[in-house]
Amino acid sequence: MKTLKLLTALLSCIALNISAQSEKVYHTFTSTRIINSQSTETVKEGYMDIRITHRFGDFMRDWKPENSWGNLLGLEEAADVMVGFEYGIKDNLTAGISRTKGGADMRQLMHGLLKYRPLTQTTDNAIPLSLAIVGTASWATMKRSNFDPFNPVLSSLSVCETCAGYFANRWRYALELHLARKFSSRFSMQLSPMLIWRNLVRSGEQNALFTANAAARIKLTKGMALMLDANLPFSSTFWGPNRRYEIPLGLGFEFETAGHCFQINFTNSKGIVGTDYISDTNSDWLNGEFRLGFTISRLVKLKKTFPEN
Amino acid sequence: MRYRKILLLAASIAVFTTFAAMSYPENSLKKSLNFDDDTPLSVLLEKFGEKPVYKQVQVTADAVEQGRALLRKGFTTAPNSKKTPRQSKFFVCTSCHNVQKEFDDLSIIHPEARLDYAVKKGIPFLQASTFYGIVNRTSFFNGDYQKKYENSLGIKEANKDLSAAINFCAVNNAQGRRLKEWEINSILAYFQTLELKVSDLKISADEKLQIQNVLNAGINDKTAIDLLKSKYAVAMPATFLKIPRFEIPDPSLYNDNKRLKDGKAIYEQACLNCHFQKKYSFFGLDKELLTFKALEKATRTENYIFSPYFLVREGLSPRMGHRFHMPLFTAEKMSPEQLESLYLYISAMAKKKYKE
Repeated sequence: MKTLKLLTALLSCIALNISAQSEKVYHTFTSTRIINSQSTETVKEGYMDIRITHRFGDFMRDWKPENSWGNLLGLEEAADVMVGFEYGIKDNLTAGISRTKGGADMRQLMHGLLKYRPLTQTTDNAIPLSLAIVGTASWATMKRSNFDPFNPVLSSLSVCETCAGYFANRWRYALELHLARKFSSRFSMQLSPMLIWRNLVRSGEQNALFTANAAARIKLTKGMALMLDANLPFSSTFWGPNRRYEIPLGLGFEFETAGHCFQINFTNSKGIVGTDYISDTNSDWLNGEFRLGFTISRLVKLKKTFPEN
Repeated sequence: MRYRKILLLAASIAVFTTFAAMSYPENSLKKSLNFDDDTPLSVLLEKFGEKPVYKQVQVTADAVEQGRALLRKGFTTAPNSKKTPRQSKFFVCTSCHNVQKEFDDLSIIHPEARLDYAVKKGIPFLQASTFYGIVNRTSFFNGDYQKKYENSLGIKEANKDLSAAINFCAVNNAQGRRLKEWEINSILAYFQTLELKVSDLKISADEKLQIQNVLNAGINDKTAIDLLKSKYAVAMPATFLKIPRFEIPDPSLYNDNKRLKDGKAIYEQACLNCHFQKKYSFFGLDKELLTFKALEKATRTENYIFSPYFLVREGLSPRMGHRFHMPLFTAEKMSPEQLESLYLYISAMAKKKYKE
């Protein structure tokens, strides 16, 4: 913790010193999210970002047309839904709260988020990258359900009221480091090492899950961009023929208007927030188990101040 | 004995005359003013018999600071020590008005001179007239603004009265609340600190001598008043222009560095002043290639509301659900040639024909 504080302070000093002389690069990405993953963008000071995200059901499971007609290409199902609010405390510090249905076993999730951007890329390459640090805490607020011997996760949550750590079982955390660079007005890319910590895991799994995320934005016009998002967990449960989970991959389009950002995407992950989808995606693109999703983001100015001319 | 009486009488008369001369008001020779560069223009004009047209207020440090805060931040601390409500959610006065000089020679108020000065001093190139010297002007919301607002309450009063003009702008342009009397007074007090001085005017040595002679004579002189008033604009004219038809520019214009530099200055000091980083508008602008391409394409589309041609000449009117609006540029604030230079710069950047 001390080391983290020191590192943050050092990075901020470097950034302040260099950015005092250099011009910052703005809008590496349009929004604070690239499909599912966080970007290095923060909400501007005094603004609130209101986000509504929806993930539909499987597009065409097992590539059988009857499966897609049954739920109208997944539109009649809701794999996950998110309503969230993120506020810009400072230009480089964002705090947020959101609620998701939950895409896996953990449901009725409340998420708290803190994002800090100590480094911003500069036009003269004095700082070649932007860096954002994101901390997320997720709490499953689901009610106790009946004992289910085939679902050890739910069982632990529901039955073992007197067990040590019952409340703790409901928590997950994520620590993300996002490094991004705007290569040109058309292309930005981001690489992110992450750590997901799950208090409660299935047998054979580790509490700590290290993962790497790669994301990119290809801007087609001033208001439209193509987005790519891939997450690569470092765990044997994600690789090989006996894997339990699948790699979350996403592809989408983003439309920006004055004040709104609309994203339409296809992804195999059901969950929306990192603590949910990174560790629990078990839908396979190759089986037609991907889904349509959208995000509507609206910026609202809460703090009515203007920088002086 | 007789001589002593005469001498005593003469001395008494001399002493009496001297005292009388010292205490004689106004037009006495002893009361002439030696003006210098720091002499406020209004003081000189008043000496020549021209009373200020605006309401005279007490200029205290507190009032000036309150006025300054209202103009720059939109709120201040009231006399009861409480923070005032924001005047407008959308703008502050300095969103559209500068507080410094905008011309080298205040008698030459062409938009070209205004742009040159803005580039030289690095000040924004805005739609509205500067507050500097506003108390020395005699009319406001002139020309086509009277036609634009002819159905709005208070426009006629705003033309002749600075206090009324301030409130008219606060409600109709800034889309905010009416200012209270003490707030208007504090703004006027701040404006008085921005009044023109002799040093702001281009007065030749001969003209200064002429003015000094009139001062020394201690008379009301219309010639001196006219001379001083010829050195600055007593009223800012306002002419609205139609949206120009788009015409493909002559390719040789892309070699005209002066026009491209003017266009660049207008883009940076007018457009980006409000739109960079979405400062006053959610419609963000920057110096990215895709932004220039989008603007260039928008300009070619007739009557498209995101066309710079449209926005500069028509602006965007406030409406329900979108009271954040864009004021237009009159001909006096951006000439047709300057608007064309702006398009030249945008298209040169979109086509990568211009290296900055």
